[in-house]
Amino acid sequence: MNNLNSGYGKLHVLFDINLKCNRSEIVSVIGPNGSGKTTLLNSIFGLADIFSGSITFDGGQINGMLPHEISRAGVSYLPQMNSVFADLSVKENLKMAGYILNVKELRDTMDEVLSIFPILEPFLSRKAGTLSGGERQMLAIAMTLMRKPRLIMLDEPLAGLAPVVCQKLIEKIVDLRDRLGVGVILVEQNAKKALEISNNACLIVSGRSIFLGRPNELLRSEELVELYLGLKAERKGVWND
Amino acid sequence: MIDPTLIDTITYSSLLGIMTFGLSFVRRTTGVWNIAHAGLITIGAYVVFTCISFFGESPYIYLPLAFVLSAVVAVIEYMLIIETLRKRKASTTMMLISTLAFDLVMLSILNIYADYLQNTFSLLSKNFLLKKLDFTLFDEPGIFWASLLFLIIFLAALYGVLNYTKIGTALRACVYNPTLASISGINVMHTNLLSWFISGGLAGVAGGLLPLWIQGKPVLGDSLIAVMFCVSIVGGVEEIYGTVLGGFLVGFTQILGTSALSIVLGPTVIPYKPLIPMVILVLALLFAPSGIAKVNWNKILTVVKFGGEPKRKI
Repeated sequence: MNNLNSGYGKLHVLFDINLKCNRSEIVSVIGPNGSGKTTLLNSIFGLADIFSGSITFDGGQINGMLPHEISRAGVSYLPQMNSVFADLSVKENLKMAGYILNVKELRDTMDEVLSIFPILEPFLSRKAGTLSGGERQMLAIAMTLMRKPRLIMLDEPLAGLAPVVCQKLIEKIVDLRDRLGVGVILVEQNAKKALEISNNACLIVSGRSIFLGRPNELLRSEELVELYLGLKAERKGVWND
Repeated sequence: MIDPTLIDTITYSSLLGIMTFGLSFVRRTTGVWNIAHAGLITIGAYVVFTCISFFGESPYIYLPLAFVLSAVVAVIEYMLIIETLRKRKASTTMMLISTLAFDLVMLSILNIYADYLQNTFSLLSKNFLLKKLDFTLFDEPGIFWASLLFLIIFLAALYGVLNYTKIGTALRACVYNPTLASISGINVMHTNLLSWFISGGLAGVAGGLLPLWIQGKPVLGDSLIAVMFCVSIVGGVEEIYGTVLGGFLVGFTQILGTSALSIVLGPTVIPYKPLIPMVILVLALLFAPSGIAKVNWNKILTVVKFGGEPKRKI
């Protein structure tokens, strides 16, 4: 992402954002509420208006492409809200997530994804809307894997989940990076959790990137941590180099 | 022999169901109330009328042609108006108004076409009835059986397509959450096109059947559009099959209600027949704003049974 300026209609939300995510790498995008984190992901996925700048994926420019084309190019997106088709069964959700695959590929990929998320196996015929918050989020992440993506974008996957479920999800995200080698852009309000597992971090405030680098470098800046992340009390104990 | 009023009611309700299904379907998939649905119905009627006038035979054999032509016009309308306005980020109100404009254009073209048929071929194209060409089965008119049969076939076919095919599931996915569908790799424009094609086709078939029961004219569809909106809202736009319930509720109330009222109050109430769907609409908006298909009947029955709040298990 190079000098990206984007927003919605006449509303300019992001200003000159630069970001890079390699394979087998987790990049956390953190910042206060309303800073433009979700707009950043929406911009990558063609759901926001890009005013200037460019977004490239695997060497090709993807800005201007439609969401389904970006998805078919190998980028998966877990939106913050309504991340599953509540009225469809779990199996139908997975099928829709792998819409572009042929019958054999779909069957194989579904088996593969269910081996990563065995918790979903007993619920295949249940409507997604009847799952618990944690199960639903597992399904949503499983859906992002159905297209065998090279880049996954997760928008606040831990929001509203119990600590135990959060921990399980974090393990899954790390597993995706380490085992499947996908790049992950993780937007998260829980900065501590996100920075713990990230290779790189981007701090966005009021639509501007004010930090881009290693999580530990970010945590060395007392001002940034205190002003924007609220991690003052924990920083010294947890975030040693 | 079945009571003729009941025959009329079931025929009217079934036709309302077929006509309105498409209207609700595109409202659900693309968020647009398509007023030009009325024109698509009239196109179906004129396709059947033209074929009958020139080639004879039974009106029913021309229904597939009515389906295809109305469906193609619906697709053209979608591509020309809805998709263009969508790209320009127009509001749904603007889209609704443009479908009205498209309907007016279609109405003008249909009037010109009817005039052309009348002046060139001396056909009674501005007021035609095809009842005489209908068949009878068990002493009942063919349109009674046909409308009911078509409604059942459409429902069964759509149920099968929506639940057991990949494209059908994608259509449902797009209906429930188009943004998530598109980020899942589904081309939402294609599924929208499919829904407009099905909707237009159903309108064409309903239009082809209508002149077997009521007089065909260039304003045939437009004269029924208010009732269709009523059926759609009463049935519940959010529920795909709600329109069938709505169609039967409105159809039965309109015909049987008018019949009952005319016995009590005299024939002076008959001209007020079109008012009944509007009364039902108001009642539905007051007591079941999401439509009767969304009403929690179990809760109501429990309340009626226990005369208060549903009993809770301790």
